[in-house]
Amino acid sequence: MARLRELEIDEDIGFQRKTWVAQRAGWVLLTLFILTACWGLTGPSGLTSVVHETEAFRLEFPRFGRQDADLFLKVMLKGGRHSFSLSNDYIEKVYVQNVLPMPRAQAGGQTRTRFDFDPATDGTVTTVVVKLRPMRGGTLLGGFEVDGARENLKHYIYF
Amino acid sequence: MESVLRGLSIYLFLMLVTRIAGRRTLSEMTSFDFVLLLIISEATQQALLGEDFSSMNAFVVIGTLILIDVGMSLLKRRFEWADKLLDGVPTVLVRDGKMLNDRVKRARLDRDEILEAARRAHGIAAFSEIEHAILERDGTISIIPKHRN
Repeated sequence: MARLRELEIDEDIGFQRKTWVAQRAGWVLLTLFILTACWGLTGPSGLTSVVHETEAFRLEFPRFGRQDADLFLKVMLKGGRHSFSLSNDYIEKVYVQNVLPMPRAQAGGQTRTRFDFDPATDGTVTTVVVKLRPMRGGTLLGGFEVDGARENLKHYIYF
Repeated sequence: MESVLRGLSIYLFLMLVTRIAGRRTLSEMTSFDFVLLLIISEATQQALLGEDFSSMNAFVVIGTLILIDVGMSLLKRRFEWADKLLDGVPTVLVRDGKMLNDRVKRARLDRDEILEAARRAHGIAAFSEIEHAILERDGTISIIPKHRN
């Protein structure tokens, strides 16, 4: 004949039920987090990149970036133009790893740094890719300029 | 400062994710779970250290993690709510030989897993020989067999 014994246990089924509910809510939140990552909200992505286009240039850059991870600026200089400038406050906060094609000359100024390139072979559009690495998290602001036409750069860099 | 913040954020994120995953996920590891754990540790290591592989950075990160862990254990000792929140509470799955289906289902378990734990711990062959089964805070299932006179 089996004999039953009392169970001495620190059980709190009310708390446990709340935990189960919280866990399921956590699964939903984790799913949403992954979906936002797929959507490009947690780092550089074509889905969330910003494009500014004028008669002088086309500038494309990611809205979101990550600290110590690569970030690309894509620049198309139109109408035979072959130079652009980046503001110094922007350059101070990023590590410029590479500029392709290599600039013919770089000139530092008080507020901006100018990059000059050899004219494009067909004489119309010069395409430049700048590879950067943000050094700090937070909002990264900067200025981009081609022949007096300015545009603001704004990224949110995840820590 | 950055290393400390990295350590803190990774610690809190991992704690949150393991709580969300539930107790059973990490206690009953299959071979694939083990591989997954290695991948997670590799991803974590890179996020913790960034590109700074110096010994000093490692000391700072390790010190941060240990200190947070000690802090958490003190918090759990001091406040019962923190203990429950961080480590959970034991849950009775079988009481007086009767399986509490709702709890078993919510804990993502089934009768077979309880029987498996009973076989392993006590060589129990049938469910009728189980008096109590408890899902412990660490995710293991404790079995108390029925006493026979």
